[in-house]
Amino acid sequence: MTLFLFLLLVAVAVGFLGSMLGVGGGILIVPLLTVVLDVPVKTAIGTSLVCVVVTSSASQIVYAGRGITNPRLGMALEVTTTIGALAGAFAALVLDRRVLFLTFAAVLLYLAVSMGREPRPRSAAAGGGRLPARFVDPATGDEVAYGVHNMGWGLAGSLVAGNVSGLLGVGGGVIKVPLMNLAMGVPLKAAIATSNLMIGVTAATGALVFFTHGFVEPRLAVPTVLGVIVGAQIGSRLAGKVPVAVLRRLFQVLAVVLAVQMAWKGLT
Amino acid sequence: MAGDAGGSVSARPQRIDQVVRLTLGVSLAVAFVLLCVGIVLTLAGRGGVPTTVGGARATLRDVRALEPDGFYVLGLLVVIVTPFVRVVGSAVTFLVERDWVYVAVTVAVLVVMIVTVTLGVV
Repeated sequence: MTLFLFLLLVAVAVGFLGSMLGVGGGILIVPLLTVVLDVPVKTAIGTSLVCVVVTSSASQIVYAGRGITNPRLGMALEVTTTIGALAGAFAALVLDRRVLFLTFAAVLLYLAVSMGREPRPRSAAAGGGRLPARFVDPATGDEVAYGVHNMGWGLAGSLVAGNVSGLLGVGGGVIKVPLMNLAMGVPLKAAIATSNLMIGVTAATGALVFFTHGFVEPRLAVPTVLGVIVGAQIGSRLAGKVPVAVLRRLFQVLAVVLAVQMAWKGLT
Repeated sequence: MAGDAGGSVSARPQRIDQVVRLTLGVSLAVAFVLLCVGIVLTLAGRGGVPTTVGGARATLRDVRALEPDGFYVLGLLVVIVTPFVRVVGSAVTFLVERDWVYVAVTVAVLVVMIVTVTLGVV
């Protein structure tokens, strides 16, 4: 019962943070399970993947309901993300993971710095972009209109994000949010909501494989699912009301924490 | 309108948003209920939360016998397939809207998901 309640409370926090920032929570769940609870790594990853699925699904109920998610953009980027994840799983058989961990750590640090800068507003002369969309920012009540730019870069970047997810088990959302916000002209809140939509798809395939191979332990997964459902519902509602600058800062912290984790794995 | 990046799109949730919300909401609600039934049965002394996942027959047998194991396993399975349900729902919505490009895109995503699971690759 103690373990159940402990995991339940941790999962509420994981779902809360993950839904606010467009990431799945693997960064917190995997080390907690492996280091603190001495759970075998495959079981920890299986639980983490279920956590990502729930974070995505529970938060989308709010984001989609508010019209903040860009479902067509998410679906388009999911094509290359899922292909990248499939390729990443094969690549994991031949590539040196320590080199990958260190490379990923460097990329994350670069992203953390980049997210500290507001993207330059696109001029009217640049055109409206593709997939025109609008949403009402719950924090300000203002209508935000945008178009998606650099779709080619977005598809390529999503291929990389999926590949990294397949190789290292984390990092899909933490790449996709800055990719959409900085390179594709998507406002941060829409990027977070759309990333949340996408990570569920990538994680679901992995979760199903782990589940059928016996690497999802109900004793760990049940309190995680219940906690994340609650936390993600709260986080996604609150994220709408949080100023963009605060979300940007939280994202930077998350990227640095994950970079340190990845660097540690690469060096030890 | 020149410079109007949002075009003529409304800021209100579109049909696809409502379908996403509905499919995810119903699926998660079913999973939540199944897991809660498991917890109630555990608290009633019918068994703890298992450490392993049983096969399909064992799970269905446990559900019929009101053993908590079956409800936990079925609830977790419903959670995991929720995104698959969402993608299928999206494909149907794009079909209804005759958005053939996104029907193709969504079907492509579903195909890659199924191939990945079939290959048993994470």
